[in-house]
Amino acid sequence: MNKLTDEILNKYIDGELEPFELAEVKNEIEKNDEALARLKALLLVDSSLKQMEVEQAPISITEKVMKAISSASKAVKPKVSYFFVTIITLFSIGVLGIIVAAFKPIDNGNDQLTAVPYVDKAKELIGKNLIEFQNFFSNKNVLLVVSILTLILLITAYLTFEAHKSFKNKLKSIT
Amino acid sequence: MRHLSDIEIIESIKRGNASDFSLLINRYKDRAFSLLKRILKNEQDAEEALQDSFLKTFNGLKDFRKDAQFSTWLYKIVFNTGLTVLSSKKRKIEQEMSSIDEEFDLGNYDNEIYGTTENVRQYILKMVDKLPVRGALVVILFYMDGLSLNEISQVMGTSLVNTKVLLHRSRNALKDLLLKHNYQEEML
Repeated sequence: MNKLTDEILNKYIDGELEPFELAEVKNEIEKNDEALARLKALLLVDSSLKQMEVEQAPISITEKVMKAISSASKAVKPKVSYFFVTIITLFSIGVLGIIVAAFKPIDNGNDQLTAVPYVDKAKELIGKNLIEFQNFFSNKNVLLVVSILTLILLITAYLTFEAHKSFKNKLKSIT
Repeated sequence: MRHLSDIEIIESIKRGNASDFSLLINRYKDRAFSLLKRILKNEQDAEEALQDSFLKTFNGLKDFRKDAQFSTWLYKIVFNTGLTVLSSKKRKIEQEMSSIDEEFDLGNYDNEIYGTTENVRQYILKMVDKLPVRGALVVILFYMDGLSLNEISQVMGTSLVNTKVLLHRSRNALKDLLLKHNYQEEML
């Protein structure tokens, strides 16, 4: 070791020197007052810095951050399912379209507007379908199946309603 | 009450107990504030940056990996937030932070501080604030927060070698001042 550089002295105070290097440094320091002074100054810097005190953050900081987190989470809108809204809207538009088409006045060539032909057609169509509908449900087997399905549907609806009611009560008791 | 580890608190927050984040704030706010005050040299800016840092930390918790050290991750956010605020205030941050070849000559501040301090410890601690930002931060993270050089290099995004060079340069700059005033004689 030719010269005790600052780098070596820094390694010395950090305990990064090999045993043989450490022995050389100690030997060199005994003979070199200038190197000893530098080492002493570095040790003084090291010990002073070890006594650095942590500064106190403002007391209100925790409250401020938690408040910001809370208001940010409230600002997030719950996800809305638009599936049923879309279906109902489309259905309503469809029904509205049929009604408008049925009652739309037509030009009969004599500048006389009338909705009668469409109304007659609609009556005829409904009457025909109503007869087919009555024939279908006059079958005993069909009636049995429909009755069972209706019963199942009613029971399911009742159970769902009860479950929803008890969940609402539970939620109320928590909050 | 049992002392919860950082990871246990984070797991609890991820399960929906957002209020547990206050435990992490209380655990790290003073150290993070000390670091920010050193970067920004202004109490109000440091407080705002601290608040911003914790909000960023909370929002990033979902991406936090269990195998990482929370304190290192948090200090990195604090460090980067501090630099962003500093940069927005146009304090020549790019020139100051782009390399480790910063000006470690503290002679300009020496006369002013030497005349107003009572002892060597006070003198050194005041001179730390006059070190170039990176040098001061390495000193703070190493001595005050007890981070290893490896952790500091992760926080500051510098190589391990450069981090060590910064620490040595900071100590040497302070050492030179002590030699100038013969403070080493106080060392038995």
